[in-house]
Formats: sequence, structure tokens, C-alpha cells
Amino acid sequence: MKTLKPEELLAGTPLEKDLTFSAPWEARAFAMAVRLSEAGICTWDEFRVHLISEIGKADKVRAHGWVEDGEGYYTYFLRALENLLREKGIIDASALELKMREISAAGHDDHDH
Amino acid sequence: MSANHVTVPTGAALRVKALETILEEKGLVDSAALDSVVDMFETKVGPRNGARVVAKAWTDPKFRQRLLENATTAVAELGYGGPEGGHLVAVENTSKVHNLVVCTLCSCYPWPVLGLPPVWYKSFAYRSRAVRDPRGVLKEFGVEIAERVEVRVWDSSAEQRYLVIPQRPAGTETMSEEQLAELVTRDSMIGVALVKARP
Repeated sequence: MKTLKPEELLAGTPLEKDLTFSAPWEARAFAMAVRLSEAGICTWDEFRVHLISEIGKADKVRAHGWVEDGEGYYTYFLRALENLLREKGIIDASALELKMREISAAGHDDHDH
Repeated sequence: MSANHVTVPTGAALRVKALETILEEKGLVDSAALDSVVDMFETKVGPRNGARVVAKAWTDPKFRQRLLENATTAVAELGYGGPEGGHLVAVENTSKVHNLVVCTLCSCYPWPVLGLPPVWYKSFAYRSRAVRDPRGVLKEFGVEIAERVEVRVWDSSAEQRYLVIPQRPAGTETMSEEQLAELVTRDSMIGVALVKARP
């Protein structure tokens, strides 16, 4: 009897590649959360509350039968991290947008550098 | 990627880069420390740690006892600890009980002994079904648990992380601790697989 792999059966599960992280940004986001809790800027539990909330929202969407394309665990993880940092007053939405524009612009200016 | 080609991050990568830059400017994180966290999880911690713990428990009854009494201090004897390692609980499979671990709300997992969880462990399908229908989920993993065996499901939390000590397979009596560790898989320490006498 052929045994199907769990990822073939557990619907909605991306194919397991057994990589710790599937993109470098996932690793950076994860490392930031770990370092912030190790440094005592937040506790892991405080972060976990936000993570549970973001995962819970996505679960509700899934339970209703549709799934956001391309969203996965680290999408929720990143949202949770941003929410936590906003709650702590460390970032605000406009500062983040501004920094994103700066990085984007600098990257384009430096293209041939 | 060549050294003089600058890739402009977009989407999530750009958001993360911006966050990291802000946190670094505020002196809250530094990129070398982030590198070392990533390196640790990509290369140093993983299920081989847990496999060593299990193999030792199989061959050293006193260690097994210490592991069942206080897994956090027992695995520290082998040098395993660190973030998310507190409150580790070892649960043992026997001929009467099969243990299965899940985190229904998020992704809590015993990092120091298993590394980071596989994708399916974090999936809605697994989290929503492991408690409700553990035998059905196990069947999908190719594991049939006899009706007379009790299936216990452990829902992980910030307070408690679980390591399953799988049953030692028959026919491994002459194997060394190192050889036994080779047989122990990640999935068997989550409880979704059994250990086979040949890897």
C-alpha cells in the first residue's frame, strides 16, 4: 500500500521542503523576534499573543473556505512582530512606510554601484 | 548573485529590511546577532539533538527517569537549552499509550531538541484536526494505532513544550546509543511516526 505523505493529505498545507526558512526575510523576521525577547524588549509570550491573534484571523478565513494566495506562517509572524512593535511604541506605520521608501529609492540609485 | 549587483527588496523582504533598519538605528538589535540566531537554527539545533536524547533514554534507565521527571534539566546534561527550551516535558510511548504533540493556537515547539517545526505542524489542517481526530491524522501519516492503545494528544503552550520518547523498536538490542540515535526521526518525536529498526 502506498502511504501518502501528510502534506499530500493535509489540505491547505504547502509542500514541505524541509527548509528551516523558505526565504531570507523569514529568517530575519524570526531572528528579530528572538533577539527582542532575549534582550528583554518584549517577552516571547507577549509576541505569542500577537502571533496567535494573526494565525487565528487566518484560520477563520480558511474555515470559510478561502485562503489568501501566497500567505503563509511567516506572513502572520511578520504582522505579529509589527503589531507588537507598534504596541510597544517602537515603530509606527508612517515611520515604517518612510523607511521602506528610503530603502527602495537607495536600492534603485545604487543599482550600478 | 554577483557582488556588484544590488537586489532591491520588495514586498515582505522590504518590510523586514525596513523593520530591521529601524530597530538597528534604535540600538535594539544588531545584524551580527541576527545572523547568529539564523545560523543557530539553520545549522546547530535540530532533531538530531532530540534523537540523541531519545537514544540515551533507551539505553540509560537512570537518564530516562530524569528525563521523565524533568526534561528541561535532563536535556541540559547533553548541552541542550536556550530560547524556548524552558518547561520541556518528555512523554513516553508504551504498548498502552501513544503520544501526539500539536500546538493548536500557533507553533510552540521544543526548539532546543527539535529545532523549528516543519511546515505541516504549523498548518491549519494539522492544528485543527490533531485534537479532534488524532487517529485519523495518524492514519494519514501512515501510522495505525491499535484500538486498545490510548492516544494522548498534548497541546503545546508557552508554558509547556513536549518531546515524545518513541518506543524502541524490537531487534535493536545490540545497537549502540549512536546507532540508535540514527533511527530516531523528527516525526517520531512529534508522535506522527514510529521508529523502525532500520532507518
